[in-house]
Parts: sequence; C-alpha cells; structure tokens
Amino acid sequence: MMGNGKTVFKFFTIPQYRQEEDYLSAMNEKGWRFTGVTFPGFYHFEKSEPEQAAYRLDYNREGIRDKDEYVQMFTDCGWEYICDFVGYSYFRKQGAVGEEREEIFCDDASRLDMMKRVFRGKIIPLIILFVSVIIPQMFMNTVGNSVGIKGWGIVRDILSFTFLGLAILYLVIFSVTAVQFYKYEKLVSGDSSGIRLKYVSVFALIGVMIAGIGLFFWLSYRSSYEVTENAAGYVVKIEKLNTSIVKEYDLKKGDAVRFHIAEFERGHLYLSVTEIGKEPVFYSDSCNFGYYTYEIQNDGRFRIEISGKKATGIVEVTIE
Amino acid sequence: MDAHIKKVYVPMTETGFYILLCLKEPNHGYGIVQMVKEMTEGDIVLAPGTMYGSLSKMEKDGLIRFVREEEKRKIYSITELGSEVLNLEMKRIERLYRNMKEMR
Repeated sequence: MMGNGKTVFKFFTIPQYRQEEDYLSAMNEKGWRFTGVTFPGFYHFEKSEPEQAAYRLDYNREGIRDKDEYVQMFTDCGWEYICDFVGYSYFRKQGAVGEEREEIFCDDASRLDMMKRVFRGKIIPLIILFVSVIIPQMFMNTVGNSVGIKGWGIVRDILSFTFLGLAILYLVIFSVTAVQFYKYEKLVSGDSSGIRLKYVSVFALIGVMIAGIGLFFWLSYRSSYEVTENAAGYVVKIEKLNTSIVKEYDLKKGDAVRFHIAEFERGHLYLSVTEIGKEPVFYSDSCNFGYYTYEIQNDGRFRIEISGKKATGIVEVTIE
Repeated sequence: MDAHIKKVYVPMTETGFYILLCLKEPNHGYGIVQMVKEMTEGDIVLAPGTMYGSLSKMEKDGLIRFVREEEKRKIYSITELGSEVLNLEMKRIERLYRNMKEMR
C-alpha cells in the first residue's frame, strides 16, 4: 500500500459533523479509507477496497481525557477508533450500512447532549472572544483617534476594518451554527414552537448586532457639515468630516489665507493651499485649535482644502 | 433529592433506566449493553456514545459511583440516590402498566 495515500483539504464548520460523517462514508465507498485529519482540515486517506462503512463523530472532552476507557467502550460495541481532531473523536464501523443508520447514540436525549457539549466546548469560547475582544477592539479602533502620532490614523483604520471583518466572520459562524443546530434539534425532538422561538430570538439578536455595527460604522465614516459664506471667506461647521471640502479662489500676491480652528473635538483635520496644477504651497497636518496663515507669493488660481478624518469642529477661513 | 435531579431524571430515558437497573450489581458499560440486549431479546442495543455520556453524567450527579477499573473498563455501582431515583421511576412505570391493563 506504499504511496497509495491521498490528502484532501475539506472545510466543515463546527456543527457540521453529520456532513463530515457522510463525506467519510462516501469516500470509503469509493475506495478511500480515512486514516486521520490534521489541522486545519487535511483529511488523509489510504487506497482500499471500495466498501461500505459507517463513520461517526463524538464530541466528548472527558472521553479524550480518559481515552483508554472511552475507546474501550466503543471497541466493545464494534466501533474502530481512528483519531481525535479539535475535540472530536472519529469512529468507523465496517460493513453494510443498512436502512437504519448505525449509530453511536441510541436516544434523542444523548444526541442533544452531544450538541450541548459541542456548544459549550466550541461556540461559547467564540462568543466570549467575540464579546470581550472583537467588539471592544472594533469599537475602540473606530472611535479612537491618535492626534500627534504620525501614521497612527491609517493603523487605526486598518485595525478598525480588520476587527469589522472579524466581527462579520464571527456573526456568519454564529448564524451557520444556529441554522445547523436548528436542523439537528428539529430532527431529534421534532419541530415545536418552543424550538422555533429560541432560534428566531437568536437570529433576531444577530440581526440587531449587524444593524448596530452597520449604523456605528456609518456614523463614524460619514460626512456631515455646513458651509456658510461671508464677506471675508467662509465658515465650516463640522459634525463629522471624512472627506475634503474644496473651494477655489483667484488670489493675488500679498493676499493671505487665514484658517482659524475655532472648535475642535476629535479626529484629524488637514488644511492645505494649492495653486492649480502645482504642488501644495501650504500644508498642515493634524491641526489643533488656533490660527494658521499663509501669504500668497504669486498671482493665480488656488484651491483651499479642508479635509478630515472622523473630525468634529468649526473652521473659519478668511481671505485678506 | 434536589430539584435538578428530579428535573433531569424523572421521568428518565430507557437507557438511564436500564443503567440503574443493571447497576444493582457492579458492572461496566459494555456489561450493561450485553445484559440489556439479553433482557430485551436483542431489541434494545445501547450505543457506546450514549452509554459513555450517560454513565459520566450519572456519576457526576451522584446516581452511580465508580468502583474500580478492570481491563480499561470502568466498573460502576448504584448509589443510595440512584436507588431512590430508580424506585420513583419503577413506581411511575408500575402505575403506567396498571392503568394500561385497566383500560385495555
């Protein structure tokens, strides 16, 4: 049998153990005997006679701890122990898979108990991580600003969107898990309004979280401001700025462009003056309260730009 | 008997009932499987995942206790609490049986 092996990468989500069992049985029937699985999901097979075999997964941490006694129980009942992988134990029973599924569980209570063990062992840690790390990190990196530390703004943005991605991934995992558990529970104990209510609540909660996260990101990355023109220039009242406010003026040598940051609450503000088609002649990074003045050196048409990142405040622009 | 035990074990599953019934004499999991198979003429074959899960749960809840290990098989026997629960179940099933007889 040397060299007669193959490895297949296959991904099953945490609660998809039934699909995994069916997959392994199907492979066995095609002449590929399952020999083990390694992280993160490489299934190893060896060439064998095509024959029928039932594969079953159990999730029992206690069993893995007292492995000898655990495996003995299954061996006595005619199940061959194959391996452990991330808390699951894999068993096989060779021979015809009859009309009735060969089962390692003989009643519904124990099938539900296995689901509960999977939930406690795999899903609860994810929920804890989600609530205590992912959400707070996403929140802090999205709201947070780091005035004065150059380059931090972009790091914050990357972190904020990374944690947004992770949060979405987790919510997808939770949804898939809920759908899968609903299917199992329905299969085991029949459809009932109690079960339906439980899962409807779970989905409602997931929906509310998605809406909340969406709203939170929209509030953080939107732009809302008001520009008021006056005789000397204009005033920009910023509720939230994540874009650029550009105005063009014909200016002469000796004119002065004066910015006054009258109010500044959070975020970053960037001010610049640029002659059309040229490099900026004035640029100010991460401004704070105060006056910033630039005297025009030559006649021409200039762009005056106020841009921001999660910024809130009031800027007055005066042309003198 | 506290409320938790009553809630979980009264009424109990067929598997649970047979485990307690068989553990009046010390026995291991597979021994119970064989006894039940004999008693029911092969109708009930208890499965290993169910057996392992039920035995460890019952041990934790104090219905049975670990006696010793023999050739990698854990031998258990019923406790005082286990007998109490079993008696409750037996009374319930007896009543069920009586009523069934009367109505037939």
